[in-house]
Amino acid sequence: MGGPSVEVSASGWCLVARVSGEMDYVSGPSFGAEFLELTARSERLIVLELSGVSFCDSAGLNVLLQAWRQADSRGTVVVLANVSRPVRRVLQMTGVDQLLRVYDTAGDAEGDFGC
Amino acid sequence: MAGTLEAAEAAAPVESLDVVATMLVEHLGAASVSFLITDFTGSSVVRLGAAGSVDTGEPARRIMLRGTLYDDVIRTQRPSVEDKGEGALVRIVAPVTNRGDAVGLLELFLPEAPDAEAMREIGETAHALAYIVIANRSFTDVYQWGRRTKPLSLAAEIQHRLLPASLACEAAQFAVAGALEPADHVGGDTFDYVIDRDTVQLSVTDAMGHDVEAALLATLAVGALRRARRAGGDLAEQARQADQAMREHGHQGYVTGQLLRISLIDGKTEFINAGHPWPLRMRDGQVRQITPKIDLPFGFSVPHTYRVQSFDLRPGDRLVMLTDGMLEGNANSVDLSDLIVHTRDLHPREAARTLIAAVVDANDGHLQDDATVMCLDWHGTSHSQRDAATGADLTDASHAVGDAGLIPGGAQRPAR
Repeated sequence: MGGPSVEVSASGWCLVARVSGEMDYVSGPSFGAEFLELTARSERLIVLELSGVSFCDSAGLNVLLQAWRQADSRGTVVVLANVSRPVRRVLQMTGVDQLLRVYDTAGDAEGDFGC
Repeated sequence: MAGTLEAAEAAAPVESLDVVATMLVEHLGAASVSFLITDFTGSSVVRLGAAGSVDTGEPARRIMLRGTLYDDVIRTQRPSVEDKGEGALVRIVAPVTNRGDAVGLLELFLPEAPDAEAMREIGETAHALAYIVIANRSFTDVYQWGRRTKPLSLAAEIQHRLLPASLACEAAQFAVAGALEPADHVGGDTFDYVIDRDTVQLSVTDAMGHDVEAALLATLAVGALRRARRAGGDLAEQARQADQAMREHGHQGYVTGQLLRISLIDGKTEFINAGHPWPLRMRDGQVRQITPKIDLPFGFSVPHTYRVQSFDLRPGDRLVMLTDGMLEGNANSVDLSDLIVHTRDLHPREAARTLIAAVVDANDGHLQDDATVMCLDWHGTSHSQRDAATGADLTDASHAVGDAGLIPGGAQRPAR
């Protein structure tokens, strides 16, 4: 697996960002900068597709929350899709899944928001 | 004992060991007396000789406990006599313990085997020494120096100061112990407990991030929780104030936590889960996770509240609270439930350390995240007096290694 990366594709007013790498203390700043760029585009919906993320610790969680906060202040919704089991567990344990909705696939999320 | 107290009071804080040593030399003709202090990890002891020989310029020499007589004495909390005969000096090792907090050991050599009266005096002196050390350690760094066998980072130093002064405590209704192993880059874990007239309260928290930043967040959280608790606030109020402090001063950081309060009158439990790993309860040899209602960690700037919940706690139950460092990364390979079952005969003090040791081993000694365990044995509310003339409740003590087929320091080393 390579280093942290974010691949973005747009459809209508929705952005799908395919996130890969471990979300932790080391990769946090890099993901943080990428997500800041994403949220600055002020689209209606950002789907973070996390199938390429096998691990997320508190630092990774914080990056997700920061993205949520930045997006929220601009009226953008951030949701997660394709979340691996260990990451889903972290989201559930911290209650963060109450803030960031988790969808099975990016398509499901886009469908829900009419993209 | 009045004499011991008077002499200890007259001596300088760093010389309290000398006082005890002198008395044992005078009364029992001891050839040598030394005090061994348990280090922060609980896996080794450091010999603090009589104060005259304490030299803080040298690193403390660490004696690993695993498989030693010292280990057996700490586990069983009973003094041990080693008599090789043929005129050799007789070695006695006695626990220096206060309320189940194993401060260290008293070791002395006598010209002949002690009779029951001499053993009683040694036991009493060792118990008194625990009080002397505890009373004096706030005045001097000597005992701190003895407890750290490797240099601490600034973050680790701050983290240590957040922990309760004693990492274990026994009362009639329960025994509790906490253990924390910091990661190479401290991860902001901390734990706390306090016993009031009618309740015992426990908290385990995990601050986001690493190093000094995490230690400062942890400081903020612990400060807010203690302030609210000491002002008489209930769990909901403690959580509210911790959350507020993090939002106001935490620079967008957050802390996960679990707060627990048990009534010593009727055994009723209350707890709050702020986005924290769930507690485990062992009952009749079976471990089950308690599934809480999850509220958000302290410090999230979205409107949220904290719900006070309850679970069933019965005499004989063991409750284990932990942080995610016990679950993440290579710690995954450790079957915690299995290990909790296998360590059920150990005192919470040793059980907590054994769980931590297994996770440290699974990570080859280098943790990515702090690992913390708090272990509470609930005895019930039918007794209000504890039986512990020597500083430890002997019915709760662990067996010596080999006595019960228990393997020390990591009962189940995971296959890698």
